[in-house]
This record gives sequence, structure tokens and C-alpha cells, in this order.
Amino acid sequence: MPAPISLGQFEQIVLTAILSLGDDAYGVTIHARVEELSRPKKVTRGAVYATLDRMEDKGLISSRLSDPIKERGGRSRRYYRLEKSGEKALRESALAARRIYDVIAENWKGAAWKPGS
Amino acid sequence: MEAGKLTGPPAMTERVVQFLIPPQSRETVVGDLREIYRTPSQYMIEAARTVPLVILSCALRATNLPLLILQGGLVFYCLEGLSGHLLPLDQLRIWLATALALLAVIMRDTYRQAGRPSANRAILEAITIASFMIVFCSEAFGLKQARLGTPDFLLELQFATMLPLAIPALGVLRTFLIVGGDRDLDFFGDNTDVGMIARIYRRFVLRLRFYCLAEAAALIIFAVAMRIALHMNLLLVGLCALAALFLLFQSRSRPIESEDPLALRAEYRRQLLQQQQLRRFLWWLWATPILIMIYQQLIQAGISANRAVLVTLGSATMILICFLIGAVNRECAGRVQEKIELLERTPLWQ
Repeated sequence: MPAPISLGQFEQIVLTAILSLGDDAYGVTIHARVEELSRPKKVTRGAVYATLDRMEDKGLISSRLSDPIKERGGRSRRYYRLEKSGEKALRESALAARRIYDVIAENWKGAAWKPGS
Repeated sequence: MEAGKLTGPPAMTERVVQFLIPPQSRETVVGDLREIYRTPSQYMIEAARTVPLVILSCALRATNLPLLILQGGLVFYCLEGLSGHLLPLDQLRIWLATALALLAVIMRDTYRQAGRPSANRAILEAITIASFMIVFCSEAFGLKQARLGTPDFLLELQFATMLPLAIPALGVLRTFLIVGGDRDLDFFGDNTDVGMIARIYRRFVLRLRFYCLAEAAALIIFAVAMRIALHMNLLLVGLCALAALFLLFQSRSRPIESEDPLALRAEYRRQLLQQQQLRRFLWWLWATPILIMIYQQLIQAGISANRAVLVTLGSATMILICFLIGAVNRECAGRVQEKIELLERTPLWQ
């Protein structure tokens, strides 16, 4: 069985955004959710598009075009969806993050450990 | 909904943004920017932050590195960069020119339009190139009036009278390419379903394997024959061998065994783009020895012997060959883009 693709931090955030948005994952909503997840760091829209393109090429996500929408000047939206390999890579990343969290929590217990500070 | 969203960004600003964004991302990115529009200044700031990264991303997606290296080698060779007796400054110039040519290739791939030229435009191009050649040859013919009755004069006269025939011939060729492309696209329609895409993809890969093997063999035979018969430069033979190796490597590709229609579509899209880039390079690779031969046998020999007719004949032939390769490449690239667009619009999931 091939090893899951390892993800960078920003890729993890973008995949999480797509996962949480479900059927409404397209450029505008993904960027808004990524900004929310990356707070307080600002994220440019271009970085999100570049990451989406890269992950689509890796087969982690797939996209489809919607019908033209009047409010967008008759242009389509590109909706994204997590693929099986994307889900697997995200799960691996989440497990690794949890292991790191557990080790830190165990060592920094007490006053030194203030998540979010 | 906010008032700004109803009015949309200033038309001119939106047109500029639309122009800057490569066609493959244009519709979605310009649409997204319009959707979040609030004020003209906000739109411009947002566009300035977005567009450069989108261009970079599209350029990376459109670039096929092994092929780009082969293209660089061909350009470098044609600019005589491999010639041993060059001054460092000339070497630098050739490196710079090669880098610029590759940058132009990348930009051209990035900004390739998502469609083929229309039949009208194709025929207009054929007429323009043929008319240009007639003017070019008439000019040279006019300069030869002093040598009336010589063999060169008669050859030139025949040449000038034959040239108008190039207009319908080129027009017919381009129309044939367009009609052929339309027939190819008939596979995709409103009723295209997942099973059909899988069948089309598998057939494409199987045909690809056969064509790659056949072309690799043909390329090696061609290079060896050109080396023996016309003493083709060893480096160009090497480049042909490298391209043949690349084709052999490509011929080993197997259709992916996925039942997932999205994975199939993504793979098919990737392979279509890769093959189109490879095909464009191969057309030029096949033509390079012929162009070099025409240059040496007609243009260079004509200049040395002071025979304008040979120079004219050589130049006209080179222009025609370059036009034909350009036309075929434009048609093929447009056809691939249309296929990709149709694939993307096929509803595989809702």
C-alpha cells in the first residue's frame, strides 16, 4: 500500500477548510474559512488558489465547475471536494498533531501550558 | 446583498484583471473577485494580492520540466551555443537568449487560449502568409530584371506563378484540421457519462503507448539516416536520441486502475496536457534538421554563389514549414483545451 502523502501546514489548513465546508467549498468560502483557521495570520487569496491547484495535481482534491452565476457576471464557481487520498493524508496529519499535542501537554502541564497564548 | 455587489467592479479594471489571469483560472478567479467586490480600491488591492500567485501557479502547472530541458537544448543548439569557438560574451548572449526563449515558451503555455482558432481566422492566416510570400518573392523577382532569360530568372518566374496556389492549399489544410478536430470532440457531449470517460481514457492511453513506441523508433531511424546521408550534427542526433528515450519512457505508462471517475478524469486531463506539450516539441524536433538543411543548401549556398533565387526559395520554404507547424500546433493545443473544458463540465459529482 502506498504511503500517504505528507502535507505542509498550509495544505492541512486548506484541506480542513474544504472538509468543513462540505458541498459549499469554492474559492471565496475556502479563503474565508482558511483565514478563520489561520488567525491571527493573514492569508492571501492567491496562496489559497496556488495550494488548491497543487493539491488537485497531487490528487488530494478534485474540482468541478458550476453553472454560470449571474452575480458573478455569468461566471462559474469551481467547487472542490476532498478525495480519498486527501482524507487519508489529512487523517495522518491530524494523528501526528495529536501525538505532538499529547507530548507537549504531558511535559508542560500546569502553568506553563496555555493553549492559544 | 450589498449595493456594491450589484454594480460590480469598474469594467476597465475587471478587463485588466481578466487579461492578466491565465485562461485556465480566469473564469473562477475573476468570478470570485467579483463576488467579494465592495469598492474599487478594495478590488484592486485584492487583485494585486491574488493575480501574481495565480499566474505563478498556472505557470508551474503548465510546465513540463523534462520537456522544457529538451526544448532548451534544441534552442541552444539552433543558436550555435555548442560551437567550440565562441567568446565568453557570445556564450552569455546565447544563454540569455535561450533563457528568454524558454520563458516565452512557459508564458505561451500558461496563457494558451481555451479554444481553437475559428475557421475564418485560420483561413485569414493562410491568406496572409501566402500573400506575404508572394510580395516577398515578387520583390526579389523585381530585383532580377537585369538578368532576363538566365536559368535563375526562369526558375523564379515559375516559382512566382506557382505561389498563388499556396493560398487555397493552405486554406484547405487548415479547414481539414478544424473539421478533424470537430470530429474528435464528438466523443464528448451532453450524454457523456463516467463509463464513457473511462473508455475514452483507456483507449487514449493504449493508443499513446503505440504512438510513443512507433515515434521513438522512427526518430532513431531518422537521426541515424540523417547522420549517415547528410552528416547531421552529432549533438542533434543526441537530442533526437534523448527525445526517443523520453518517448520510450512514456510508452510504459499504463491506464490507472481506479474506479473513481474523478481520479480518472484528473489523470486523463494531466496526460492530455503533457502529450500536447510533447507533440509540439516533437513537431519542431522533426523539422529542425530539415530547416537546417534548407538553410545550408539553399540560403547559405545562394548567398555564397550570389544567386538570389536560391535565397528566396529557401526563405519561402522555411516560412511555409514554420507556418504549417505553428498551425498544426495551434489546432492541437486548442483541441486539447476544449477536451479538458468538456471533461471539467461533465457532471461526475453534484
